[in-house]
Amino acid sequence: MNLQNKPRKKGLLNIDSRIIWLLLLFFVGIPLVRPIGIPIQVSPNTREFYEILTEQRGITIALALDTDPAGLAELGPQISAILKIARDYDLKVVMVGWNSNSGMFANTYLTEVFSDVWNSQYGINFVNLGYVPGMETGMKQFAEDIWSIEQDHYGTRLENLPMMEDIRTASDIDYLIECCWNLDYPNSIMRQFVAPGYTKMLAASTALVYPALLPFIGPDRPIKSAIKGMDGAAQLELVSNHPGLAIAGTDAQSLAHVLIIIFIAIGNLGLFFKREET
Amino acid sequence: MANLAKNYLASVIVAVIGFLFVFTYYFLAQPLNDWSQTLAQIISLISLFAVLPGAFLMIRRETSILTVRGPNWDRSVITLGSFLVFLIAGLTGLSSPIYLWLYNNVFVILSTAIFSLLAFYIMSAGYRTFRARSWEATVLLVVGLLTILGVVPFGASIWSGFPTITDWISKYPSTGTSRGITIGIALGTAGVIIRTIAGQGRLGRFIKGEE
Repeated sequence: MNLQNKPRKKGLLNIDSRIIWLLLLFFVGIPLVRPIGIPIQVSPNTREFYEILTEQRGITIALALDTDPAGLAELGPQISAILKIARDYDLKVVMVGWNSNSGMFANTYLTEVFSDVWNSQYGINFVNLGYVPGMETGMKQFAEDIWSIEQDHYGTRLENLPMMEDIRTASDIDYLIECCWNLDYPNSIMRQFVAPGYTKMLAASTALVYPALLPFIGPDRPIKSAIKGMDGAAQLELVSNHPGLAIAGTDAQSLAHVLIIIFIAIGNLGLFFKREET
Repeated sequence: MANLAKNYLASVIVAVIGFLFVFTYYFLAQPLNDWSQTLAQIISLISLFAVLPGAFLMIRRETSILTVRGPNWDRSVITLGSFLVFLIAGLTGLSSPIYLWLYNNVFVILSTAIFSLLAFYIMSAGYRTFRARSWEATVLLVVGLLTILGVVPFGASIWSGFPTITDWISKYPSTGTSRGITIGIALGTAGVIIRTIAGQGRLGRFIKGEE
C-alpha cells in the first residue's frame, strides 16, 4: 500500500500535529495581544539580584551579552530591565561580550533605554565595548587589562571615554552580569573573572540554562544571584516598577505550558483506554 | 631524510604545542605562559581564515547549481543574494544604518523565528512521548510534569511548592548525573589527546602520515 494513501489513525493517541500547532498559536498569541495577568511571584534569587544591584548607587556593572539572536526572546527583556535599574540607580554600565553579536545587541538595548541621553552620557555613564574575540583567552586578557581592546564598538578610543579612566582591569568592575544562553560562557567567566578574584558575578540566563547554573548560585558561591528566562525578566520588571514585554510574555509562556500538560494528559488517557480495550 | 621530516615533523609540532598548553594550564612558568597565550590568539586568527574557503566553496556550489538550473536553483538565488547584500552592507561598517537595519530587522528576526519553531515541535513531541508505557516512562513523565509546573508562574500560583521541587531536581539528581557524564567525556577526551600527542591512535597516525 502506498504510504501516502495509508489511512491516518485517529483518537486520543493520534491527534494531528497541525491541530496541536494551531492551538499553540492561539494559546501563545492571545495573551500577547490581551495579557490575562497570571500572578507572578518574585523568586528569592530575583529579589536578591535586584537588591545587589540597588544596594549602593553608582557602582560599576559589566553586562556580558553572550548570546545568539535566538536567546534574545528571553534575555532581551532581562537586559532592558537591568539597564532601566542601572539608569534609576546611576550605575556605570560597561557593555561587552565574547560572542560576535555582543556589540550589536548592546547597541540595540542601550539605544532603547538611553536614547534620550545618549549624546550627553555616552562614555560617562555607559559604554559599549562590543565584541572581544578569543573566547576564554580574550576573557583572560580583558580581565587583566581592559584597555588592551583599545577602542569601543563604535571605534572611539578608550582614552576619549571619561568613564574608562577608572576602569583599567576587571577588578574595577563591581559585578559582571553574564547574559547567557549556553553553559560555555558562564563557565569561562567563573574561571577567568571569579576564580582569580577580579570581580563578583551575577547571571541572567535562559530558562534552559538556569537549572545547570543552580549549583553555582548562592552568597558563598561563584554566582551571587541569577534571574531565569522570561519569568525572571517579568519578576525583575515587577520589583523595579518597570512593567514591560516580559510580563505579557510570561502569560503566553504559562498558557503554552498549560496546553502541553493538557495534551500530555490526553495522550495518557488515550493509552489508558487502549489498555482497557485490550 | 625528507621522509623522516614528512612523517615526524607534524607529530613533533602537535606534541610540543600539546604539552605546552597542558603544562601552562597547571603551572605558572614564564615565558611559557606568554607563549601559550600568543599561540591561542594565533589559533583564533587561523579559525577566522576558515571563513574564506567556506565562503568560496559556498559561492562555487551555489553558482554551479544556478548555471545548470539544478534542483532548487531558486534557493541558490536567495542564498547568493543574501550573502552579497550582507557582504556589501558589512563593508559600509558595523554601525552604518543600512547594516544595522538589515541586522536587526532581517537576521535577528529570522534567527529568533527559526528558534521559536522548536516550541511547536516540542509540543507535539511531548504529547507523543510523555506516556506512562512503563515504570521508567512514568518516572520521566512525573519529573517532566513537576519541572514544567515549577518553571512557569502558572505552577507557582497553583502550589508554591512546585518551584522548590524543581530546584531540588535541578540541583541534585540532574546535576549529579550530568556531572558524571561530563567527567566520563572529559576522561575519554584526555585519553584521546594523550595518545594523539604521543603519536599513537588513529589521529596520531594520521598526523604522522601513516593512515
